[in-house]
Amino acid sequence: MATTALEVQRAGGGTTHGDSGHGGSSHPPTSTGIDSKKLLMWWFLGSECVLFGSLIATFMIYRNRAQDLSVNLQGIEGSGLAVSSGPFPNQVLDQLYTAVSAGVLLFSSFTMVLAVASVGRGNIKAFRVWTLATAMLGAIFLAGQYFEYTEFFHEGLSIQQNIFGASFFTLTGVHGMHVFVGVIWLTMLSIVSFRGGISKKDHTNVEVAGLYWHFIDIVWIVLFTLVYLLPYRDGAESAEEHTEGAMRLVQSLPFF
Amino acid sequence: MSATHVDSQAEDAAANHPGDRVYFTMLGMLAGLTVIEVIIFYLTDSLVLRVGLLAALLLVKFVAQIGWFTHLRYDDRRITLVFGGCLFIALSVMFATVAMMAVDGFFLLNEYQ
Amino acid sequence: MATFAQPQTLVRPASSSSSESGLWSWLTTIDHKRIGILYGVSAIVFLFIGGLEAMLIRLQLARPENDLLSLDTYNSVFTMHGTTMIFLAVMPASTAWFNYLVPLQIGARDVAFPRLNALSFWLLLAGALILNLSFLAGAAPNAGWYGYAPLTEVLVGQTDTFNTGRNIEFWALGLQVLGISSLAASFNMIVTIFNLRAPGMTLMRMPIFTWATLITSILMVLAFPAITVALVLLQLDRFLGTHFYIPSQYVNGELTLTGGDPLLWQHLFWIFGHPEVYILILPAFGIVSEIIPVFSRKPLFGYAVMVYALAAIAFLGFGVWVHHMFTTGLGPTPTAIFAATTMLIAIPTGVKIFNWVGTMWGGQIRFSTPMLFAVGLVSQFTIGGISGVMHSSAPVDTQQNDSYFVVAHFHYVLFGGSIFALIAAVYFWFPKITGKMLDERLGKIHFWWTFLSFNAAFFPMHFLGLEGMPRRYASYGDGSGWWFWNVVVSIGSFALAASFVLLVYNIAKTLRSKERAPEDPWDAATLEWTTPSPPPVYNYKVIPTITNRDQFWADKYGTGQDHEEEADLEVRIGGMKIGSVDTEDENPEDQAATRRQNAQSGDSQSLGNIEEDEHIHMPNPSFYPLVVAIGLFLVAFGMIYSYPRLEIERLSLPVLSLFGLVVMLVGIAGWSLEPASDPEPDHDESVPLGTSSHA
Repeated sequence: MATTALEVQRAGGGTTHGDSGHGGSSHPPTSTGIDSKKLLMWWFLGSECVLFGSLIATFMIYRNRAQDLSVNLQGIEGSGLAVSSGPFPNQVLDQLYTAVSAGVLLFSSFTMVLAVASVGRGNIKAFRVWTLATAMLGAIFLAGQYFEYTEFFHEGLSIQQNIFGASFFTLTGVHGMHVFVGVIWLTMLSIVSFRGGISKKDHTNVEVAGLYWHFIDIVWIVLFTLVYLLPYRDGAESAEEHTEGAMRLVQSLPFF
Repeated sequence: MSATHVDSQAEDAAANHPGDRVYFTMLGMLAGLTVIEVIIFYLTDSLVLRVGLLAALLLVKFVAQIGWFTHLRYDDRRITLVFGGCLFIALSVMFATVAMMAVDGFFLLNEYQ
Repeated sequence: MATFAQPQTLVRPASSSSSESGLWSWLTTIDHKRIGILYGVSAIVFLFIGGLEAMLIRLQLARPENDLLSLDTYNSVFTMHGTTMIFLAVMPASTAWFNYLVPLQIGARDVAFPRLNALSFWLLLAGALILNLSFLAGAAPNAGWYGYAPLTEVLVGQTDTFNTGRNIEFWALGLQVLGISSLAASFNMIVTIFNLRAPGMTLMRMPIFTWATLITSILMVLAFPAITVALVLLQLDRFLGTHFYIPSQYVNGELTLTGGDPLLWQHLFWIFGHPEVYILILPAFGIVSEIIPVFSRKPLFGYAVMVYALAAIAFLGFGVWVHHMFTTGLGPTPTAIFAATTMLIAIPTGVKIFNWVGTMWGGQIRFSTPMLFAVGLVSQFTIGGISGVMHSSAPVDTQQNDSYFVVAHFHYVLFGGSIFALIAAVYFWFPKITGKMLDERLGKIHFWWTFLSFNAAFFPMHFLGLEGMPRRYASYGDGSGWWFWNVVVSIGSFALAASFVLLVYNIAKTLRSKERAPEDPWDAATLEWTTPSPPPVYNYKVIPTITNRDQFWADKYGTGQDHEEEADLEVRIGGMKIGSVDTEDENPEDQAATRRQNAQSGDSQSLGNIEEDEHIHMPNPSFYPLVVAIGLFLVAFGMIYSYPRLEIERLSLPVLSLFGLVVMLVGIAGWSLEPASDPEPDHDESVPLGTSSHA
């Protein structure tokens, strides 16, 4: 039926693609003038704001809780419960080490813009260099995170140890997975470019990868401040004021 | 025809974006701000000062990244609207959640003193 | 004017994804209309499964102290009833209409990312399979569709505490997969609506259903990540022994107070959950806003305000989640704030109700079946909306919380709202999809049957709730006095279930009949009715140009405005029909007549009208979306059945998940290397297409 008719039409019409008919109907312009992939990526990043927002909110809710509990509930008698113990953030976090990591990721954002700019100018060689550099810096960041995690394990902070560990590893782990995906993506892009698959017209494809990469860096900028730099309660000095909050938790234990 | 379009379009895109020097300046600035953040962390004891300064620096770094590195400043205004809208909803919802759930924790800053 | 030499081998016939009918063509289809049909059929199947679960609930409650279902089974049945109806029936049904209608309504040939669209559907099926396979495993989810912690939790190393079976794994991983499906579908819809509108279709000329799709998709994009995180934290609690949602956990073999808070789950869940309610109802609003004007023969009253109301509902929808938690003791300040925002939502919702009434006011109303169901929504949703406003008052809510009053409320909203509209949509657009009209007489019987049995099934729940009957309970005492209304509810429910059999009978009967429907049987206003029924795979031979909000009405009847615009219209119609313009002196009626004649004479007839330069590239069918979906299914399933495992030093990984990951990666690699998937393979994607369209 219709199929065959159209096939014939196509096979025969292959050489008759008129210039005038070229754009008008079968290639509707994007109505906004914004490339579809780019628009998709921005909405994806908007969605990621809620994803990381939820994780960050969880972290912010729990960031002081382990210390508070350990101070305020030390002496609970007869509950049969142990109280969450350290290591606590002030004992494990190394701001200088992470500052270097943050710097690496920051620098990778810089190499990423250069990669996007080079492909825009049609300079594929430069594009390869900058893309590989970006992927490499991302990998260095991941290695840094691996050593940081190992160090924390040695100091006794696992994901089960206390609620700080749980929320810390979850938040930074999800970020790390995003970095990992980005590294794979950029590596694939450079492999494709070595096989001659990237040219000036792939500017948008590269730009979209760049947007993702910058967003990951932005998330780390936020995490660096909220996780590493913002002060934690020591627990030691505070006591009475926290009892109310801590008692609320005890009261929520009837199901034990 | 199409080929020339590719060219002119790519040039447009390049012209639309800042040059490498701007990126270099931004990198320097961001790195500098990160160093300042760490210095603040180690030097200041005043909690209010620490939180205030860190928050301000965070904001500056955030805007610099999103505005320049992701080209939001040079891109279509409607993209800013999309991302800004999503960010606004995410921030308000999450801020409200933290405020409701952690009143006995982080937000009582005076407890540090 | 250098045209790229077009490698013809890469371009398969445009019709290959729609005219073939074998199984393979459905498995590899990326045609938005076929995917829409797949969504719709799945939705109907799961509607029946969810309905079956509802019937089990009603049998159990039909008499006091019934022991038809064990307590555990009852938990599973009501959990799966809610989960199935929300995620597997109503949402896919809405998505079916998004898929089928939106590209047609905006004058596009397909969605922006056709293969992603196929992936969305296969992931829906994967998630649905995971959820429902749980019955075979004897471990159906059992913690309610809201999955409150600690009902969903385990204490690591304890075999008898909380929820130690695989039930919650099925639920959590099923929902994760469904979440990815919904996110992919919404990104696709958003970009499609923003970017693929026909020339002249400004945002404020879009059909209102397209607006509803856009707003719903934005809601999904911003709501789903919250439950993704909530479920990830839940899975970490269950798999790795963290303690996000329980205050104590075994740490190093000792029961330890860790400070986790079950309220965190409620917050994260309802940050998703409340927008989800609007995700379920806004498409229904869109459908009804399309149907009522057509059957009142009047343009939608207050179009702009309707759009703003949609947006306002969506925006406010992110600021009301705490009204689900009024009884958790958050204190007066949050309660007061969220009670106020909840009441605010009544304003845009009320605006919509009044605008529908305003549309009908003074119109020439025809009560065909779609209109009956649409008016049914206006009346029944209003009842549910008003009981919703009652709940926004925290003291009243405290009384009604967890009672059957709430059950009555949300069934009036979700059945009297969403499902009434979705049925109306079936009657309204069925002739477009199949070229055949559903039986009107059966349709009217169907409506009145549904309407009466719906009210019999759900209105008495208000009384039961006010008499204090709690929801989610598997049984009630003999002396409770709840027996009478429960019997009425059960009878009503069975009658309601039977009404769906009538619908399916009507569909089956119509599909078997030979009688063809005209391609514009309702004298409708939107673009999809200008296409033949069913529309060809490329939708429009020539992309229409839009000058008017109710474009097709303007085509048929003129705009009543200045002559210049009329001339424009004619060109437009000519564009749709013939591909070139010689039609400027024809009047709109002639145009409409030509178009009708053409469509009735069939597809092959109209093919003769394709001009030679009119090459329509449609994307190739692809099976990679299916491969990726199967991979993700295996990943999720491996995490539920985590043996055998691969031990690498301290890591212990489920083999099935690893295998699934490999399948997924293969699928993604094939996807990205697949040639000519682009609807414009000869077109450089970095070029905004607008620059070359007039070359």
